[in-house]
Amino acid sequence: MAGDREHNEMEDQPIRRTLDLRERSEETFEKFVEDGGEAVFPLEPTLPEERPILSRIARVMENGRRRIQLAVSLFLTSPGIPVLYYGDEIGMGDHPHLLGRNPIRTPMQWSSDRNAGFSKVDPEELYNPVIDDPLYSYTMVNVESQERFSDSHLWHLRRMIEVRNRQGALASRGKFGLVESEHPSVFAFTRRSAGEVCLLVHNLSKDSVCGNLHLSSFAGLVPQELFGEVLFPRIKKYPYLVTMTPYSFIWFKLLQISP
Amino acid sequence: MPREEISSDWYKDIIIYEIPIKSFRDSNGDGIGDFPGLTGKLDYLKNLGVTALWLLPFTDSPLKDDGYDIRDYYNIYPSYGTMDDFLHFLEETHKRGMRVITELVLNHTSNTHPWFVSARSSRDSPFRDYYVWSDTPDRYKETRVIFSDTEKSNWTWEPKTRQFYWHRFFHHQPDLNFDNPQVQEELLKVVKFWFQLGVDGLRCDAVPYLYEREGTNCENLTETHLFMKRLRAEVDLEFPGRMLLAEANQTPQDVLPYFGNGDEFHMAYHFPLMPRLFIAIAEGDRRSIVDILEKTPPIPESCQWAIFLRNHDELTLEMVSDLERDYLWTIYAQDPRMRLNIGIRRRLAPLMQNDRRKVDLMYSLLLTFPGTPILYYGDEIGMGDNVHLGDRNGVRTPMQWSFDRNGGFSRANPSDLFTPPIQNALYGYQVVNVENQIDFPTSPLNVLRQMIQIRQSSRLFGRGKMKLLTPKNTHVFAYLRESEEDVVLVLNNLSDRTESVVLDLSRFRGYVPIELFSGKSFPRILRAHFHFTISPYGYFWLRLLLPEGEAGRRRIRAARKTAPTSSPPFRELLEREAPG
Repeated sequence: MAGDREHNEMEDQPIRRTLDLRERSEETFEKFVEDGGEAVFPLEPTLPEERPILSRIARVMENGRRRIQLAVSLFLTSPGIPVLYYGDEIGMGDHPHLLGRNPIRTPMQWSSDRNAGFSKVDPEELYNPVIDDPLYSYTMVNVESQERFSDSHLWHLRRMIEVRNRQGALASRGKFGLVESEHPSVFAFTRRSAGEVCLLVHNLSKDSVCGNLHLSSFAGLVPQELFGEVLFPRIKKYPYLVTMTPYSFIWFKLLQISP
Repeated sequence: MPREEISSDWYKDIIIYEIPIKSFRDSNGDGIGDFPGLTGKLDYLKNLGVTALWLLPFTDSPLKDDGYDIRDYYNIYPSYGTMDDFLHFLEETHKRGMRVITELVLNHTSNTHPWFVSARSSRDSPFRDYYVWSDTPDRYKETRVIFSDTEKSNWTWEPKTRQFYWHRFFHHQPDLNFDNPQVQEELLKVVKFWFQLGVDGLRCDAVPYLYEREGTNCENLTETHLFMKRLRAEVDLEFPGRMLLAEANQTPQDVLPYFGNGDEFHMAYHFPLMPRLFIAIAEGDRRSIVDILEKTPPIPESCQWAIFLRNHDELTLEMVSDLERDYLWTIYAQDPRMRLNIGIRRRLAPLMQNDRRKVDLMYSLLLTFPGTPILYYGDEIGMGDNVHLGDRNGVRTPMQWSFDRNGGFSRANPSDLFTPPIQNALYGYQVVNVENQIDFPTSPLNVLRQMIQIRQSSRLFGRGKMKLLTPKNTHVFAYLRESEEDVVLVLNNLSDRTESVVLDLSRFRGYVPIELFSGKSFPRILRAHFHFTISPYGYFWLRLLLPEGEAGRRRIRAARKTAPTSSPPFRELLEREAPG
């Protein structure tokens, strides 16, 4: 994680930057790999040269549902204006053998019909082929399928955007503050604006973990979970215990409710 | 298998996987699954972690009730293979340390069984008395009709000999007459034949209905218990260590007598539990499960409940109240075609609206409950169903091995398959198949495999006591599984919201919870009350250990090692066909 100074800077300045989960060009994970020594993300050894990952978010997250949603949660709750890249809302894959940046520029997958519902031309006429790998095939990863069940990426993202847009503190201007969690895998932070406080807690690991959140400056407030609107126990002076299932996240709003 | 090394109550420690031969794997391209096909997939099953295979009926039959209408108790239905194929399968299964449980259909035969063919031909047939005949359909009037969608009465007219014959199920399945000692002898012969071949257990079909007595509902009669006790005694004498499992779709109180004093059945299904699990997850509330668990009486020491989420039949709702049934129908069978008799003919994944979190949670419940869990083939990958196939065939479609032709089930022309594989957008074999799911670590298959690995690392789950915790928040279902030397705390969030729950763990002050999927510790329990936050449909499995002294530290190290391996080694198993 970056140092404290940076966070203070972020709190002080109005934020106008945009934030991309996956942008149209290659992801640049190189520097993380260099810094940490060990590769955090699966660099494809089969790629012709050491170059940035030309993968979509779903593949970077090894197609793990919870990991993809965790990444989306971090992305939607961090400061900045979120920019969604087409296809990531349904967890589209990529086509590693296409040239240049084309691996992540394949036709949008609308349905399981011919050419994924993108076009009615013969498949050979398409500017890029549709993805038909077993794990990411358009026959399974497509808008029409995901409309049909509420546990799909598409529906989760819809709900997350809706909840995010209701919270002023989660808008791009909300101030960011890091919260000590006593556990390296529990990433907790607050976003604040005009009397509204949101507390965002993420479990970055594949394990179930416990965090002790240092929230004494919010003692007396009552956390309300934003998706289910469940009220949680009131924050006290001592650390606030959260138990987190793998790659889970909780979005809270901190409320003033008299006891 | 070296039987003597294994305890005689091995059935308490197994995980059963239920298989219709016909639907599992076709080795010869005739469009119907067979024994060589199944034998070729034993390594897959071994790697999934199941330790016993329950085969649906496979002896000769006209298949009007999928083999439960038996024409010949001693020979294999030709399309499924030969007796040699079966014996080879049995040997290969035992070689892998797995058990085999087959079917014993006692109550009835097919109307094409030579006994019935003879019996119906003349009132003087030596087999006439093998079945139950009557001049009027007015006898045993208090007996319900089970297949209420297709059968109007339990009596059917036999025009040639001008009498009615008795049948509790389809009219083409005449009930055997257990008052006839010859019938009893014949079926004891059948039992001994299959145990002699080496099967480890028999699942006894439709047990409550063997006898008929005027003025009763003809279910659970004393005579039935007497016969089963006799059967058990003969099995114990000649084949010690073999197991009998009762199918008695009754309330727990009525099932209790089937255990006798540990001298009747070893196991019986817990039918009423299953619909309550579905109610609880729909309501997001634990109370309906707690209710049925409290109504479940203790059973003899040597006996065990068999528990399941789904099976080859409809999700039967006979053992719930009218109110509960209406509720379940509204939630899970909006489309009336999904209803069958008094039940719902759908698989687990569609019942859970394809919600991965709910499917995983159901397995968390099943695998941590007291009893021996039964998994239904295809549910490990989240297969769907096809309501248009009629009767219960919609949940018996070809196993989906890959996205190849016919889902990798068979090389036959698609039009030659006994029934088409599922092909819809959400559950079709192009989408849901074993090969895909082996390829990524968090697939339904791999998560279930990890759960099984954890459950099987200890005898606690099959044998330990269950103690329910009673936190105020009823969306969370928390309980302890305890034996003398081990205790695991399980939390399940039945609701679709992130929940907060405070558990009274004062008994365990000073203990350290070890999370079983990762082997890592949670903070030591210092106060009486432990606060958990738990995500929608989330679950925790925590072993509670006292870390004091060298012994305590050793146990914590051991507990950490039970964490399941994450990369499944069974990719190469996909290609392998029947050995030898």
